[in-house]
Amino acid sequence: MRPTVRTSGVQDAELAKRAQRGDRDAFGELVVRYAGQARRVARAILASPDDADDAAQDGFLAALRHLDRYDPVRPFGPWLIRIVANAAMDRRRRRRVRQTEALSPVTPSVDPGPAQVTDRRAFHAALRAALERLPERQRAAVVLFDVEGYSHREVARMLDVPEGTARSDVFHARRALRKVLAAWREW
Amino acid sequence: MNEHSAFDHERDDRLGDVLRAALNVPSEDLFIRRVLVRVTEPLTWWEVLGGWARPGLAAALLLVAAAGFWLGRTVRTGDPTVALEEMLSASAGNGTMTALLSSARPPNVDVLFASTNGNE
Repeated sequence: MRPTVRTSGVQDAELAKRAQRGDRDAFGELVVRYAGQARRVARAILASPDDADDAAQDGFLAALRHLDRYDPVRPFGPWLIRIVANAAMDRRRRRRVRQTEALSPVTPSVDPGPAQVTDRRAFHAALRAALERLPERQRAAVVLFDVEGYSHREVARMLDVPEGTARSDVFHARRALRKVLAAWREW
Repeated sequence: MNEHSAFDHERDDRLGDVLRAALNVPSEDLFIRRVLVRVTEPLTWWEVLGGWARPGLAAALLLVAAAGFWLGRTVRTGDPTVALEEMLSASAGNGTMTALLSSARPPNVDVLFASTNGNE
């Protein structure tokens, strides 16, 4: 089901153009490239991993339906992630998300001892809980900026706010997260 | 605590890395497969309807505009029964049509035919 290797070296814009012409394999390659990013952004907004996956999928399918509105001159990532973020925000608004703070399994590169795994899970849970306490837009802004590496301008465009607002959102989110995490020894 | 200023223009790698680890959701392959199945399957009926929504709306607006225009013209031209009377009197110069309409008896088909054909 995965796209073929022939698309692996192709630029996003070229893949998007092919997808606009109806090449589903090209769109599939874009799904592979952006799945991780889309899921993280959706999870930052929605907290629940299941809801986040549903929202990320909604975002991909909405992007596929509206590919004719994508301008290949512009980067594909921000266009797609904006749609995913909107899908996640819509989903959050539509229904109150249950606060299921399920601890996600960690897959470390080395095999740590049980105490270390427990610590790391607790650390990640605390981090997600701190993120969840932030306003929705601040959450998305800090993840888009510090995790996904988008510029303030791109974050602003994705969240449909002025650039100054995006900067301020990142600032406040960082300050809150650092305050909460200062107590953790891993920090 | 690290030394980054909260207003830094640059990415805070350390915060970014711990957030990434906390937000990563396992089983990415499963997710990708799930989306690809949806991407390659045929459109559902509501997606097809959704695609028609915009042209459908445009067509409906066009119809409403056309109906409004037609109605406006009809109202401006006055009572349509006047036009009917004019037509009847024009087609029944010999009085057959008037007799036909004022009579209490049912019409004779031959007479009716003759009157509508100009009694040729």
